[in-house]
Amino acid sequence: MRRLVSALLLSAFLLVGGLASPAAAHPMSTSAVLLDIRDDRVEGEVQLPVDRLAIAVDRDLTPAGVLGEDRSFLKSYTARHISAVGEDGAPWTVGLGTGSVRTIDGTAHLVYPLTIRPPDGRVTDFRLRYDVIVEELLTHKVIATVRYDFDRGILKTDDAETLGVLDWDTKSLRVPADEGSWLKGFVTTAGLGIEHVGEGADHLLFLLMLLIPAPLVATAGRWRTGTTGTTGTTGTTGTTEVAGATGVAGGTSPRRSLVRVVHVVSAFALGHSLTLALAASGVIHVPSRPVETLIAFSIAVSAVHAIRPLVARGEVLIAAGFGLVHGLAFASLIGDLGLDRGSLVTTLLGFNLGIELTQLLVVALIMPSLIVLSRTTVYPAFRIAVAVIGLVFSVSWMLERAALTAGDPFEGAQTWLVGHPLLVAGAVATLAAAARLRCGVPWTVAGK
Amino acid sequence: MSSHTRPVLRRPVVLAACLSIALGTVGYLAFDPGSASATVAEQAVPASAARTGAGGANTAEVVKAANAFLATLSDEQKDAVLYDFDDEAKKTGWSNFPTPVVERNGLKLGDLTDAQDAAAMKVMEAALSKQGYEELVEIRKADDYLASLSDSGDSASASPTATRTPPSGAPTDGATGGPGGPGGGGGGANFGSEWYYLSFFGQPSKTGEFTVQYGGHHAAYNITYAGKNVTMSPTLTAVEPEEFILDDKAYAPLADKRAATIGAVQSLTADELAAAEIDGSFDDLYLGPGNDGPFPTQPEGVLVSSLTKKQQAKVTAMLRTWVDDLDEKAAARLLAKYVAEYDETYIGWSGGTTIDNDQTYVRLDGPSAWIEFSNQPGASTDEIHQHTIFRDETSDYGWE
Repeated sequence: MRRLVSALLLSAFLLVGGLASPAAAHPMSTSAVLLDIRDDRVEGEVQLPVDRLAIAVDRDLTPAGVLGEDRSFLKSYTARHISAVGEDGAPWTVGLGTGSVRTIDGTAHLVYPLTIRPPDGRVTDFRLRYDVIVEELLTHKVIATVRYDFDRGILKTDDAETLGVLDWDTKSLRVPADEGSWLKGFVTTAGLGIEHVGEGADHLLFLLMLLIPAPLVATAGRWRTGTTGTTGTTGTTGTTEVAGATGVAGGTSPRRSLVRVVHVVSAFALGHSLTLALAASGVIHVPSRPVETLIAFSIAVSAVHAIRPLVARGEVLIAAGFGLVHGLAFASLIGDLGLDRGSLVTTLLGFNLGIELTQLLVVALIMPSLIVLSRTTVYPAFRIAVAVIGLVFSVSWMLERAALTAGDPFEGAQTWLVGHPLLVAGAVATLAAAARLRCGVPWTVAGK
Repeated sequence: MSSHTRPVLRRPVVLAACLSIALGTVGYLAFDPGSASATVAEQAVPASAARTGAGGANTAEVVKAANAFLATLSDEQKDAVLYDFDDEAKKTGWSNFPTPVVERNGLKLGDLTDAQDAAAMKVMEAALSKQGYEELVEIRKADDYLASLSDSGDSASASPTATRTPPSGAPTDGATGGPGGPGGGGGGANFGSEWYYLSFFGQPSKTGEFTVQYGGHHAAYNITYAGKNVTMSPTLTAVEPEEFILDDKAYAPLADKRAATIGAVQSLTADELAAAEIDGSFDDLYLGPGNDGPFPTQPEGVLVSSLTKKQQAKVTAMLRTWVDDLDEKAAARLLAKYVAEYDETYIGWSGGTTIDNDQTYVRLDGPSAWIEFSNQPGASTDEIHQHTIFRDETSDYGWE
C-alpha cells in the first residue's frame, strides 16, 4: 500500500520534474524555497545561488561578502521580493532569519530561514509571491517544495513534494497548506513505524528469539513444555521437551503460551516506549553506534536464552531491559527521517503505534506455528537451530557495528528474510503442520 | 444407443474448435505487432499551414528517407520511434542538457546498427541544407570531444564539472534531498555521439503533418512538415567548446552563428544599442526547452526596419545562419518571408554584446521569426559556449 502511494507520489514528482527539467537540469543555477507547514505558521528556507544572485543585483558577490558588506542589502532585497497572502486576500507577515552560506550541489548558496505567519495565527491555503532573482534574471528558476506538512502526510525528508517552479512567467504559487487532516499525518507516522520496524532485521530477530521459548517453561536450567516437567513415567530423563511432552499432564496450554507472549511483547513495548520518548524529547542522548552494537548484543543474549534459559522468566526481563536500548534506536530513526520537525507527542504516538502493530503482526504470523511446533518432537532441534542462526547474525552485527569487521557477510540472507515475511511465516507453518502430523504429541489427550 | 450419442458428443467439440479458432484470430489481430502497433495515425494538414507556411518544402525526399529508415527497423524499434503527432513527449523530450538529465524520445542512435544509423542520418541530411547537416554532425562530434575529455582523466582543462558532478534534477537541487533526482539527476551525464536520438511524431507522409525530432546534448531539431510547408520551430543548436580538435581535425560548429550575431548587434550605433537593451538578465535561453511560451507581447529592442540598409543586411546575415540550416529551397522562401516582416521585427541584447562576455544575450523577435543567442560560462570546460534557439511563432511544433 505504501509502495503504491510512493509510486504515485514519485510519478507526480516526475511529472513536475519533467516540466521543470530543463531548468532543473542546469547544474548550479536554480534557487529553492522549502516550506514546513504548521498549524500556526509556515517555516522553511530560501536558497539562493550566490553567482546568480550577483547577476540579479548587479554586484560582485562573494560567499564571504554576502555575509559581510552586502549583508543588509541582500536581506532587504530578498525580503522585498517575497510576500504571502491568505485566501481572503489579507497579507501574511514574512520574516527572514539570519543568512548563512551553504554549499549545495557544489555551489555556494545564500540561505535564509523563512517564517510566514497568518494574521490570525491559523494557517490556511495561501499564495506565495516570490520573484527573488527571477525579477531580473529572467532565465532563472526557483523550485518550491513542501518539506513538511503533517496533515498531508508529508513527513519524511524523502517525501518532500514539489509545489512547482517559479520563474519570470510564474511569480506566485498557491500553497495548499490547509489540506489533509490530523488523521492522515497520524496514519502516515504509524505507517513509517510499521515500515521501519518491519524492515529492521535486528528488531524482528530480537522479538523472534524471545518468542521461541515462550511456549516452554524453564526448569532446572532446561526448557520444557510441561510446567512440572514430569509425571514420573518419563521423568527420569525429563530434560527435553520430547520427554516432557510425551508424558506430561498439564503441559503449557496454548492459552498459557499466549499469556507469556503478551508479557514478552508488553515488556518490550514498555521498555522501548520509555526510552523512545525520553530520547526523542531530548531528555537523554546516546550516540547511535554503541546503541546499535548493544542491540546486536541483545539479540545474542536472547538467542542464548532461547538455547538454554539464563534466568527463569528471563524473556520478560530481557524484553524489558533491552527494549530500553531498542527505543533509543527508534528515537534516532525519528531524527533520521526528519520526523522531528513535527509535533512530538503525535509523532511519538503514531510511530510507536506502528511499531506495536508490526510486533503484533509478527506474533500473529509466527506464534500459532510455534505453539504447534512446541508440541512436537521437532521443536528442540528447531528452537536450537533458529537460535544458533540468530546468534550467528547477532555476532556478525556486533563485530560490524563495533567497527571490528568491514561488513556483514549475512546481509543478503537477512534482507531476503525480512523482505519475504509471509514466505518465512508460511514455511514455519508448513513445518509445524508437517511435524504435527508425523511427530505430534496430542495435547488434548495429554492435557486432560 | 451408442450410435445416438456420437453426434451429441461431437457438437461441443466442433463448438470448441470454432471458438478457439475465433479467439486465436482475434488474439492474432490484437497482438500482432506488425499489423497493430508500428503505425500511427496520419495527420491531416491544418489550414493554418497554408496561411503562414512559406512552401518549398522537400517533403517527398524527407518522407522517402524516413521510410527507408523505418524499413531497416524491427517492429519493436518502429514502435519506439513513431509517436502520435500531438504526443506530449514531443515538447518535453528535447533539451540542451545531456541524457539522462532529460530523457529523449525515440531510438538512441548508439543502439542502432551501422546501416540503421546511416539511414537515420540520411533523414536529417534530407531535411537540412548542406551547411545545416554539417553543423548537426559537428555538434555531435563536439560531444565526442567532451567524452574524450572525461576519459583522459585529470588534464587541467578537462571537464571538471560535467562528468563528476552531473547536473541534478530540479527537485533535488536545493537540498530537499528529494527522491533521488527523477529525470536522472542521480546518474551521470552521458556525453558522446551515441547519445543522440531520432523520433517521428505522426506518420511521415507527403500529404499529412509530421515532425522529425532529432536531438541529444546541445542539439534539438523539431522539423515539421505539412505538405509543401515546413517549419523547424523550435530548433536548438548549441555547442561546447566553440572550437576543438578531434582526430587531428579542427572543428568550429556555430562559428557562422557567432560571427553573424555579434556582427549584427555590433553594427548598432551607441544610441541604437542603448535603445535595444532588453530589460532583465539572461543566463540561458528565455524560450528554451520546457518554455514554449508565452512569447513576449511587447517586443524589446530596436525595429530592424528603422536601421540602415547595411545594418539590415547584417541582421539578415544573422537570420540566415539559422534559417539556412533547413533544406535550401524552403530556407530561401522562409528567409524572404522573415525579411519581409522587418517592420515588425526587433533586435535586442542584454548583458553584453561581445563574444567573450559570458552574459552576452542577443534576441531577434519578429511576428514569425524568433532567435535567441545566449553565451554561457563553461560547463564542461573553462570556456564560454553558446546556447541558441530558433522558433517561428506562427508554427511552433507545426500548425494547428
